[in-house]
Amino acid sequence: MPNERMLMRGSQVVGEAAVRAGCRFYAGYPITPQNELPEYLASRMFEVGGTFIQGESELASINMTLGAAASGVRTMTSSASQGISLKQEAISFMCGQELPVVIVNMMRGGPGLGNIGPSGGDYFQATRGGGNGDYRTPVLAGANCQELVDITFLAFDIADKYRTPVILLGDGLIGQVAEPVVFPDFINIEKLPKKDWKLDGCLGREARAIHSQILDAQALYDHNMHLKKKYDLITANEQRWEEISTEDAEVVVVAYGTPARLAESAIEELRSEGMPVGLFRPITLWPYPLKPLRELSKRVKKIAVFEFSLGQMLEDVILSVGERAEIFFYGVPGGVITTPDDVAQFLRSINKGDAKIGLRIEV
Amino acid sequence: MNTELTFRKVFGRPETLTDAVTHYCPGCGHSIAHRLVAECIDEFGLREKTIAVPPVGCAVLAYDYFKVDMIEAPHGRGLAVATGIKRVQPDKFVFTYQGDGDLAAIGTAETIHAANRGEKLTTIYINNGIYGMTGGQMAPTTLIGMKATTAPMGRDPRLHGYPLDISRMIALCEGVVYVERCSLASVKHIKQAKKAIRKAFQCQLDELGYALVELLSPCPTNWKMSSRDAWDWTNTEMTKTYPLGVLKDTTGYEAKK
Amino acid sequence: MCIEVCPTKNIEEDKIRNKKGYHPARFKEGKKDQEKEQKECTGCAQCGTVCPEIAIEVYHAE
Repeated sequence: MPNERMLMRGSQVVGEAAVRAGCRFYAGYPITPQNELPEYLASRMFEVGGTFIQGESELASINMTLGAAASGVRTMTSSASQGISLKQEAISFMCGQELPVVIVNMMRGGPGLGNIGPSGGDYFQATRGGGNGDYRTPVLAGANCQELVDITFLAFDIADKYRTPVILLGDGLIGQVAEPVVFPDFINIEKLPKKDWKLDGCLGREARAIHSQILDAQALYDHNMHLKKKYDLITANEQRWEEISTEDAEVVVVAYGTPARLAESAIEELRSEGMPVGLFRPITLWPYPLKPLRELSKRVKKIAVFEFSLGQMLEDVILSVGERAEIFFYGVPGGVITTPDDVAQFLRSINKGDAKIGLRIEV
Repeated sequence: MNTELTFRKVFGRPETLTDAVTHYCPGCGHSIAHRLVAECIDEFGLREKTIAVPPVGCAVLAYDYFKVDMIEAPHGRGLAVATGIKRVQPDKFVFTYQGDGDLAAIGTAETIHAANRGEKLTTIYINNGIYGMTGGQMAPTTLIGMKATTAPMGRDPRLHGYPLDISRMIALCEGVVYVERCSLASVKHIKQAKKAIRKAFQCQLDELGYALVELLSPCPTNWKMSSRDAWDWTNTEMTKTYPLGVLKDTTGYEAKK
Repeated sequence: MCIEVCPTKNIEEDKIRNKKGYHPARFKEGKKDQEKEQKECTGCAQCGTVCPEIAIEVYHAE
């Protein structure tokens, strides 16, 4: 497939990007709104000589990717919300075992079965982790299909570089929307750094074991400290975010993913009305760009948090901003999409100080 | 001579079914299965002591169609949820209504173990060889050669394994007293299915053990066929992999004609 | 499906369309059409048995 502009759905975009980024194993289970991803890879993986398996469940699927990852192959699994809930045990395992894998979550309305509309309700699940133990996973969030291409490549690189599962967060909207994208060339899998920890039979070397179980207390302590060091390194080096029109802003919206797109449209409209408003858009939700936002909040006195959830990313903003600026919040839960107009109204009311939509947060 | 005619109703919508128009596709077997189950609930007088567990699948909205207590279960966990209900309320009638993904893919463990424990439960298992609700992906029961969105070249045993006959696996468990496979794709088959469901209900009422009725169902939409063709396919093709008949019967009931 | 299974050929497609855009089935009232093998309805209820909408009620006149 040459590098022309293609019109593809978000879920399919992730599939093609993964294949070009060297992913050669995918296991997953059908769940709306990301079915297009396994359906796409059912034939595409075959074309590039990789493996596609529709597992019998999300639980089985992620354990299949665990095995493939331990074999040294770039691997991916995907699901939505409650399917990701099923994967939590294995994610914890893979953090303890230091295995690289990319996990795609196209968030839907929850909790439980919810609906198939987009939401941000899995933010805590992704950034705090729903599995057991002291672990973190890098979380990347895209706001449009072209960005999905970029962060898919990035996800595989971060996963391999630090030997960690990486979560790629989308939602029911970006998973389904079709936009024109351009893909980079296929990477050369042979040129990737060698994985000297993989299990491929101990011919010519000592046998190795990969395990997260460490019975000796001191040894487990040391292992956790080692993981902590890794997470500190990721935090120091891998934060990504985008700022739009923040240089002269008096109000800055903090939003990621689809809400950020809505905010961008609202900001365009408000700027044309002369309101100095900007956007701070995290791309890594873990590590969250706490310091850059903190710096911004020393100058910008009104921070407006907008999310498709009821106070999840808000906590990271409070952690970052504290009492340095006034924090306002507009959260929409469970599978409803608001319009840029709603966001604009929220921002106008903050500026006027009557906060008709959303509320002011007491820190 | 009496010229006044009185009309006696011989066929109609069972009491247990709501008036809601179902969302099922034209030619789908689900609503026929719903009717048979509802008729049995009516005939045995169970409506007010029934608690049912619908699946995640096309029948996920079954609680809008049955006038009985119903609880949603996470995908595949229906028999575990049903076990919890029946154990604390043994006097109630508890059944699960599940599809091939719910029962035989993600729910395999819960299914086999509830059956193996001989839970006094009844399962209506709708097998249409495909994942309907999510748009036509392959199911464990998809036939060899049949195309699905995640098996675009058709099911290939070397890649995807063979179609799973979970009813036969369930029949191997000692605690299981009755397993029959029927079709929903003709008048004759529907009538046989009704008999099977009645018998499966009776097993729970007599506290014999676990009973399952597998119902082969047409899925015109995802098989990409007309209703007529899908109904024929069910009876001619699906039955080659999934032959109809009784797979286990230790009930001691005589077959009622 | 009911049109097909009716042994006395008493059901046909309605010319009008219903809300969902389909031509629903319609019971042919009264007339017996020898050419198309239509006979009196026997109340066998095969139509109701196959109807996926459970839209049919069958009565026996006594």
